[in-house]
Amino acid sequence: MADSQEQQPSSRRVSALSQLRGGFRPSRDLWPDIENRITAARSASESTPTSSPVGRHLPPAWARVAAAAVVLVSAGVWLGHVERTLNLVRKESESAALAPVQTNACVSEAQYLHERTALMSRPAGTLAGLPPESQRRVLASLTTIHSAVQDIETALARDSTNPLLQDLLLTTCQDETRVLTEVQAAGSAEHAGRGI
Amino acid sequence: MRPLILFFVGLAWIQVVCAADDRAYSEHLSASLNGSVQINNIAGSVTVNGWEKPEVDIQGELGASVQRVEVTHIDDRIVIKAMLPENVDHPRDHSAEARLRVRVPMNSSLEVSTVSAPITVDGIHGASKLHSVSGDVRAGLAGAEEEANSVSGDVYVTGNPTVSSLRTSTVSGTVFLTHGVGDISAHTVNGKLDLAVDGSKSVDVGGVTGEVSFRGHLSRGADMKATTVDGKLSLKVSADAGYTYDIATFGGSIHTCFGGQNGSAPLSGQVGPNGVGHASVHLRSLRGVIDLCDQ
Repeated sequence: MADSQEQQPSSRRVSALSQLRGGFRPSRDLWPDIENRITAARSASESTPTSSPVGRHLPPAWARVAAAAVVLVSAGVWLGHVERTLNLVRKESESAALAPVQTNACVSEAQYLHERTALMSRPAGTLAGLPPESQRRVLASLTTIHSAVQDIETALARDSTNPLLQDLLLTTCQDETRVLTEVQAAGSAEHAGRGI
Repeated sequence: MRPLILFFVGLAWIQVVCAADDRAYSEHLSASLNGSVQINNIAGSVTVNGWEKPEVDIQGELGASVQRVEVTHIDDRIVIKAMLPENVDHPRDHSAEARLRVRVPMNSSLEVSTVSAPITVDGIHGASKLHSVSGDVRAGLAGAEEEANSVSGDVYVTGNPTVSSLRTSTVSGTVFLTHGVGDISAHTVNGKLDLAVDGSKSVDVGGVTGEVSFRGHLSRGADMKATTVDGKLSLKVSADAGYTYDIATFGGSIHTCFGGQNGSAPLSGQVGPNGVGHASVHLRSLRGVIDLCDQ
């Protein structure tokens, strides 16, 4: 009967905190068991070298900085390479779209000036070793070619698909190559005939 | 007046003294009948003749500044170089000149390079490559593949039926070709081409601002191309089996002697019979003048 009286309150519906029973305790103390388990787990982890909690077995700081730097530089180089490749592809596709002919196949302004400077400055295989009159004539001829190329390119700018202009540009570029080859051969001949 | 006379007398004396400083050079060596000979000379002259002997003979006069003539003979190849000191820089007198006369086996292949020395070649049946900067090149060519170029000098070449390929060019000088045969390539920048061709299968000629004059005959099926930017093309062309032509200019003018075909618009037509084996002629200019006739 008492059991039935004691069970009645537990089956009652609780509608407020004040209605809860105070001083409720577990039937036994669970803490010693928990503590034992934690201690056992800690000792097991200390005896296992493969586990790597943060803060244990780290390389020195300088090594970490170096490794980070290597990773960053590698990433930078790779990104730069990708960027350059993309730019190259972009430029090539743009130039292919804009210039269907072989413009700049031979002498752009900068290239012409570069070639001219190189011809005048290098000692062997170039103009510098040739007689002054020949130098003057070669430079005059290169100027003639350069002017001709500019004229053709100007015409091509107005009529970029004109096969006649494309053909003339190619021929004139070949003329320039021929002159430079001749100068190279002449410079080599001059150089070959020089002793000590 | 008197100082002027003294000046010229002094000049003549200097010339005599310089000439007296020249020293004779002579060298003779055995050679392969089909070997190669290479000659380098900066100033003076180079004359090469072919002969039947298996020998190379070198005779010459060397100016005071010429150090030596260096001859090397390795296997079938002989190299002859007139050597100048490094510090001699194209003197106006004759002291740096080496005048070389060389005889080589006629079937040798020949390569001659000079700076201001003219080149004269005759009687060589092997391939020749002749290059000069400001000297003239004169050659009777008889090898299969021939090349004669000068930067600012003139080139005088005579072909031979044995020639199958002839390349010649000058930057600002003039090329005179007579009896041209084989595949012909001739170019100038602002010089002049004067070409007389006996029979050719392929012709490629042109100038940038220079003048091109072509009188010649084309073989059956031949292909000819002539271009100029601002120069003038004057062509008198005939062909074994006739030829078709197409002419185009961007802003120049065209003249032909074919029934009043003149103007600046593109032209095309045919000369001679409409049969198999006709040649084709393509002429192009930017602003130059094109003048085409049959002979």
